[in-house]
Amino acid sequence: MSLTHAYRITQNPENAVPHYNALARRSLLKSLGFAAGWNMVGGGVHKAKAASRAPTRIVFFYTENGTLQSAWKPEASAGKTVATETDFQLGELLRPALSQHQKDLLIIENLDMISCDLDVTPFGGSHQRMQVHGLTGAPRLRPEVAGTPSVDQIIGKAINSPAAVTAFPSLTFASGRSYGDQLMNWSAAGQYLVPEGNIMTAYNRLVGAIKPGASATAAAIAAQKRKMVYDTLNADFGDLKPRLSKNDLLKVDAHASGLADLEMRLGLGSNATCVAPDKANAQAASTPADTRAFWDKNADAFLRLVTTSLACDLTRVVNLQFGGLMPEEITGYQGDIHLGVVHGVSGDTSLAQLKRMSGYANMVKYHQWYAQQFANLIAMLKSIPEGEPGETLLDHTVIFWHQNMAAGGHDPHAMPYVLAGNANGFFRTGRYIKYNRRAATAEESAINNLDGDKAKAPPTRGLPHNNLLVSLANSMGVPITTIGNPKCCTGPLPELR
Amino acid sequence: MFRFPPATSGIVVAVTFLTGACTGNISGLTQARYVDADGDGKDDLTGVEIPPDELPAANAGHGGAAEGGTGGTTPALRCDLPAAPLPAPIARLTNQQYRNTLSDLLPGVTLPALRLPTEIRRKDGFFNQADAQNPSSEFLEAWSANAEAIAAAAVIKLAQLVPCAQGANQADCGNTWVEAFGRKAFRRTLSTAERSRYRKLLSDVTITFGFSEGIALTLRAFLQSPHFLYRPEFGEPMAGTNGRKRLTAFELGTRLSYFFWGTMPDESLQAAASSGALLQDAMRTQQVQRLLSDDRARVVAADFHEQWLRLSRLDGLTKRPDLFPSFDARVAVDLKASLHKFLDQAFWQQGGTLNALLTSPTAYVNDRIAPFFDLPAPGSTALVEKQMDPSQRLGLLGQASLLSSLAHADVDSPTQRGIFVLEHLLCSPPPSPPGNVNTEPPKAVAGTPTTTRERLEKQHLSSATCKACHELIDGVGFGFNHFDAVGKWRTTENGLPIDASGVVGVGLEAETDINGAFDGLTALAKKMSTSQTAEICVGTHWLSYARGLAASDIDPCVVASLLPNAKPGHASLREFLVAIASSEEFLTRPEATP
Repeated sequence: MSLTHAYRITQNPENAVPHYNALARRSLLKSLGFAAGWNMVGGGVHKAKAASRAPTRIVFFYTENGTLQSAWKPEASAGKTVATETDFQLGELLRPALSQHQKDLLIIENLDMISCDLDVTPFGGSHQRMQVHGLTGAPRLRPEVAGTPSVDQIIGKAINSPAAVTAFPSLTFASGRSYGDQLMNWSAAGQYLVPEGNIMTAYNRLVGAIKPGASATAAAIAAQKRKMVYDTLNADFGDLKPRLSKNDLLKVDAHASGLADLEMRLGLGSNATCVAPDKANAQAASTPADTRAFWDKNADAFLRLVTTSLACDLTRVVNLQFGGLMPEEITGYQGDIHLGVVHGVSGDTSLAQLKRMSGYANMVKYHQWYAQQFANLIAMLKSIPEGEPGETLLDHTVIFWHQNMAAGGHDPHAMPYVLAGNANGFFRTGRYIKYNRRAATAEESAINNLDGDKAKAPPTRGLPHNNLLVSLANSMGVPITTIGNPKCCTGPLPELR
Repeated sequence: MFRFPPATSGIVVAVTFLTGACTGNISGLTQARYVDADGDGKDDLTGVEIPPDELPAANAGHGGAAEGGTGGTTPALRCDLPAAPLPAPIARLTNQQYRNTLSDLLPGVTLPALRLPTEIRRKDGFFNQADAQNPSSEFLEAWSANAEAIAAAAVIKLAQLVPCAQGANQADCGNTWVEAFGRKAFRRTLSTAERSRYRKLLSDVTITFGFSEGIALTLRAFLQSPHFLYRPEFGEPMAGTNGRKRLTAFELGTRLSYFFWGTMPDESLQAAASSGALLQDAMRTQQVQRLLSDDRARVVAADFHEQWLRLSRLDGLTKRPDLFPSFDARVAVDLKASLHKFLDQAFWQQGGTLNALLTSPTAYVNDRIAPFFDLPAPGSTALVEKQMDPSQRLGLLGQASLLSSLAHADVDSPTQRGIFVLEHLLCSPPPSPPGNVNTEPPKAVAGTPTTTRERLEKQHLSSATCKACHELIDGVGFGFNHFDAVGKWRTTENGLPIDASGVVGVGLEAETDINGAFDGLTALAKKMSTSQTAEICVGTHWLSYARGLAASDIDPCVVASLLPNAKPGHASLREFLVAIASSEEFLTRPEATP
């Protein structure tokens, strides 16, 4: 399926369903065998092939600590003077690994975490603050605690309502170190999900849900037994809950409702074509070592788990987070260039300035390593045929590469966002979308944004990143029009489609 | 209203907060300074007269400075004033407690490999803190999968699990088992409703799937019940308390058992709870002594040490092979085992005082790691006890294991070492560096030999931003300068003499009993080993671990009131744990707020 063709499906009036009201649309989707809200995007439904279309999946691919923006930005193609929407070459950081996938990418420039600007909650850790904002776009409850659910959890919950459709509503993995510090996935205010950083724990959890050859009878018996156990547990919870304090009740209630969800999910397995990932590969990546070779293996093992979980339809929402890896581990450079180089740059550091900095070449290698992991995931998804002849898993997926900041100076403005995959034709890829910047408002400038130094905040703003989060939810068939702080969300980004 | 300690005790601990240039995002830093229990204006433990202007104005009869203190210090905390009641949130078993509990609950069963999802904790906290115990779907799934696998393993030897005399009615045996097993799993007698609920589950499943499956599914339910996974406490009304309830005997037994053993109560403790005798001081004291003298308490102390000092920093520790070729993965493993052995003996064999912890010259070495302690190889692959050179190394801070973990791969790090002392031993963690500064350790310039100290001083003291905190941090850390990146002693660095003079408390506007200059690690260790500030700091970490709560500002007061009477640094921490377990707070809980 060509990308332009995919785009046309949603735009062609012949294929588009007229604007029903929400109820009517839900009935229609139900009659087509979909869960409410499924594939219902932008006022159109993929009518022609809707019933047979592979489900849309989303991967939140996270790397941290910002990029070197002038080396990240797309450049003019050879022989040209300016980069345009469709005629450009990738910047130095992305080029080596990703130019072969350029037609599957959307490079998005000038989205800002304006929600950070408007958040009066005490500052807290500068990294954690932006990790919370990254996928929520909303004021925090406490310095490092989200006050609203994150978009990945909103999507996971919506597509698994009213009944679970996959064994896991979402999965969250982490390659790298210090993953306990990266809390960016929130099911509700104050309720975080810890990314699983142990490859074998992640492997066993995933493989445990693949139940090849289970007969319908066996599944029914297992469900009957589960119901007997869970009825008993529900009665235990019923005894306990009225006696608890308000705070304890919040937690125990979350536990009880999670159990109800689990009872349903445990009945769901993988799809028929599911192949479990190679265990030896995961085991080989399970004993940490401070070497590049180890992190290569570890990243590869996690990428395989991500691919399996999507290919087997065990979940449709995956987070993969890279954290805590120091440039010297990736590049072999002896010295702390992360802190040395990265913190020395900001969004307006020019390429010429960057290149004069000692350690620049190693910093480039560091970022290129992440781009390589991103490219490896694209390649893995492309290697799985799915749907129509010629289509692959990537055609039914969008990978969102997000970060906690734009550049090393803890600046949440002009975020280096990249999408890969068109999400069943929702996004039109192979393009470079550069939004305009405008002067910052007084309110946006009022907060001490960069490590308490108001003077360091840039004078301009792009569009709010909340808008992109809305578009991502829409691409997954979740028909929200706003997310997070409504003051910095003006709806989805039509330019991406 | 929760009061701790009782208002009649008259204890005042003047608590000052770290103030001065290095204040950053610090919150809740407390420095306990003087203890004046009898109200005579003298520090009871040192006999030092407390200067009048150090006392809070609110403390009638003591005179003192205006509210707000002097020199930028925040108001001293009055321990005899009512404090905000501490919450007692519902506690969940930590992964370690869960694993221990399952082993003790099913002694005859070979447990399958358990799924234990990653736990997290606050930066300065412990895994047992309720606010870090989110019931995520990973945990729910893991508990469900574990319960299913354990039940399958348990019913293999059904006759052992559910004894049933020849000719006895199987259903009766099953009902008896529900009662007995439920009492262990829920750590209390089952309620009438629970008893019939679980018996009904057993009989319903038995009718359709047979008795063995009935037991298996009943086990699955027990092992996923909130009464098993959590430790709910409700207490019972008690005369003479305002707003607090006494724990029931079963709840107290459970608290004691998880505090001292990290697992469920054993039969003896359950019996004492069952009869109610545990609520009497004599029986409780007897049980506490029994718990403390069991090896399971050593495992808990090791867990405390691991978490308090963040010893995971030693896991997978590597050094640059070109500079330290003998420092391999096995060395890192042995160093960690050696450090745990040291901490264990300091706590259990050497009186368990701060003084022993900081000044014991003992080290545990084998042939592989002896060189890092500058000791000759003992001719042993197992760790054996040796004495370090007491003129160079003493106690925890002199352990090569710790020193090598507080260093870079190539050079030592006075900054990491200073932060370690401030954070873990003095409860004054400096804030994180501002994000936009270059915190790369300065590189040596080829051809110009320099010491780590010289390079750091040049970098940190040349900028006001750096200096604000690094005078405090490096002031402590420079005292370790005789030890290189793998913890070995050196007298020169790059051919230049070592300067290990340091100073504690730069930027701390308040005087503490450890402020001032010192020269070298042994001097620092000795200075801190008799410091009340350090002793109370260690106590607050234990208290936080015992409570399963994050540290609160009143903790120094509580610790001061519970530490056994001894000169500073010489209080037995084991006796302190006993005192915690006998305190009003431990024996009662606040009313649940509806």
